[in-house]
Amino acid sequence: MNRGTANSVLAGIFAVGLAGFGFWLWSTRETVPAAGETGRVEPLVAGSVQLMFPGPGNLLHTEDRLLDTVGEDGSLLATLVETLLAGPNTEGLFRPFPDGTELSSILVTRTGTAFVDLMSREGAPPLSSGSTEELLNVYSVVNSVLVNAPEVRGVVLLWNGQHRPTLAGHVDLTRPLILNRSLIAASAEALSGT
Amino acid sequence: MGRSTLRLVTAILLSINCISGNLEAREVREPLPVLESGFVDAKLPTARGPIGYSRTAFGPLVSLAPIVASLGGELTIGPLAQRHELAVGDTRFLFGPGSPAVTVEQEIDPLSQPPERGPEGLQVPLDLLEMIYGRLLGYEFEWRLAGPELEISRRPARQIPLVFDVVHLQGVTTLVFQFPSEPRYRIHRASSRLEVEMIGDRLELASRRLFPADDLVRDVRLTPEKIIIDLAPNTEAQDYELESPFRLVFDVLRNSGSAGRAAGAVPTRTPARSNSIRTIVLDPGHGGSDPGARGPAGTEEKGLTLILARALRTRLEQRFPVKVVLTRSGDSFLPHDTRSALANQHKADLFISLHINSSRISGASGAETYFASLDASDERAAEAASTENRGDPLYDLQLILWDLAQSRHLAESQRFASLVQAELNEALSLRDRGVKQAPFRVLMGAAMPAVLVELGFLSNPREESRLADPNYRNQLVDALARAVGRYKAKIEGVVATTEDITSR
Repeated sequence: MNRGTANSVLAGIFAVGLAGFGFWLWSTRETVPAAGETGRVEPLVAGSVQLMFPGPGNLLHTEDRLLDTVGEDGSLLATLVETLLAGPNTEGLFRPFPDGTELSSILVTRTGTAFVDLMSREGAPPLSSGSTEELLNVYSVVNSVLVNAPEVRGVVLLWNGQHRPTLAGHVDLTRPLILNRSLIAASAEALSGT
Repeated sequence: MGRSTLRLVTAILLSINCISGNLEAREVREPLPVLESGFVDAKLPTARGPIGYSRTAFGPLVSLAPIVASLGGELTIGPLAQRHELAVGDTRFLFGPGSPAVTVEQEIDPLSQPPERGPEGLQVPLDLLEMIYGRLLGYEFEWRLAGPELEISRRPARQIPLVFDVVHLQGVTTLVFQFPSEPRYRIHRASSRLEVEMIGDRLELASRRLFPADDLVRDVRLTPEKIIIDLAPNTEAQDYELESPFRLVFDVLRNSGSAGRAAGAVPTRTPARSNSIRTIVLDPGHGGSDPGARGPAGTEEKGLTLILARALRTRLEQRFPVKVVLTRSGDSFLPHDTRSALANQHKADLFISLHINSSRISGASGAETYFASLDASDERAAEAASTENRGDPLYDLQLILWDLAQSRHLAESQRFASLVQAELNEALSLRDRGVKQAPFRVLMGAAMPAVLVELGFLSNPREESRLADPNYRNQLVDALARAVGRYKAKIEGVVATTEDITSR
């Protein structure tokens, strides 16, 4: 084998190796799971859960609910979010998103990141709001998932199947969000005040 | 006077006080009551024997001289036995009886209790020994009540897996060394070389990116004992630590004396820049297709924030020698990352994002000031650092960029946020909603102190009506300008005059 042929063979091996490495990188990256893909973790068991609704003091207030059915996609976590979106039973608390907002899908990756895809029934973008309202809306979902599903480490919110930098111009949705305790009302806190 | 100068002067004054033994100038202090005293059975690395000790409510004090004789170092005692100087290697420690602090080079560290005179000379608390021999030489001190017994041993060397990364941002080369837990290390600085010496541990390189030499850093090498960084001429490196996971970070940048000479070099952020406020970027929140909050009377946040930002720009430029840049000058949509990127491109010294709030609580009112919360970022950094989740180099790099851009300015962002909130509280009879932290996207990528100010609630009809009043808006603008003035004065180390910071 002359030197030119040897160089060509080596270049070919290198190219194949590079392509293989590139494929490995691509295949191991964490992306939004495709619709229908099953998450590894089923973090919830049926029973009492705590849902967090926006309310007085611009804080999240906890409401105990019984979760005994599975959601449309067969996941208890989906039921939790669907119940949250349906709104509170307690007077003075608010539903986090306007009527017509539904859960499209919820998936949990092998590393414990929950992707919660919300959708507007009309395909509309999320409503504009101030930062306080947006913080409460986002963290009502994030905190409700995290306090009830200890195996979930972070929550990524999507809207109409799309990654968005923010929902309404403030809260960073490009990374998984973790539990925000500062927004949770103390249990003794009265449902009053502004 | 800058903070470092102040610290140096304080250190010198403390040392002089220590040296002179001038008791009149010091606070008269009774020694802590001694609960017991006697001899402790000490296991030293080279010998075993009794050492004098006493015990107060704050723990044991042990005789220093026999420990120095065993572990090494040169102890010099001043004429009145007040000033004690212990040199271990190149490091000098100054301390004395009755003073609950130790001066290490130019730093002052507190002690759990003051050293006191004993029959064998000075007796010192264990944390002082830990500070001297633990940090520098890797010794551990264990006090056992039974006996009592003191064991001094060298911690066995650990293999520390190190992850090395490099970020180039705004003409600064940032070297990031990530450790699984906080290591013991010492930094030696020569003219163009930095060495990070591990104390009692050995390094192993877990993974690294290739380090291509650049205009600022010539080479980064690793031995089991140390990290060696060779800097290019006319550069300097500032080091700091980040937590969760622990990272030792060096920002390498051109020094101020050579800033004008580096023709063709990457634009740099000179150290002088960080000590002055020359460029301020104001970000009117929302815009274009994104109206932001909307009041009951139809007022849109995007319009109000633009009006306020324009007025604030005028006020700041009238009052201070600063350049003020708006991220948007009209009703146009601008992505969040573009806003902070604009601030970075302008090498801004301060970034202020202006917003008006909304809530479904009808009576919600008041102003609040936010600085970035990086909790999620830290969590994500820890996750990315785990073996399981590695595999996307680009994602990791973005993560580090996020992490570093605002995290190194968090303390200053909080400081400025406090001034903003204080001025708003004082000037307006608004409800104080306080300084808060939140993961706001627009703050994340800002490589300078950055805050987001919510100047009231549009959802509250009374506040919507006030915000429509030009006089009220002027008060808001004045309050913000005063906050900038106070911050500028603090950063630049000058005493702000009333005229500097008050409205005209």
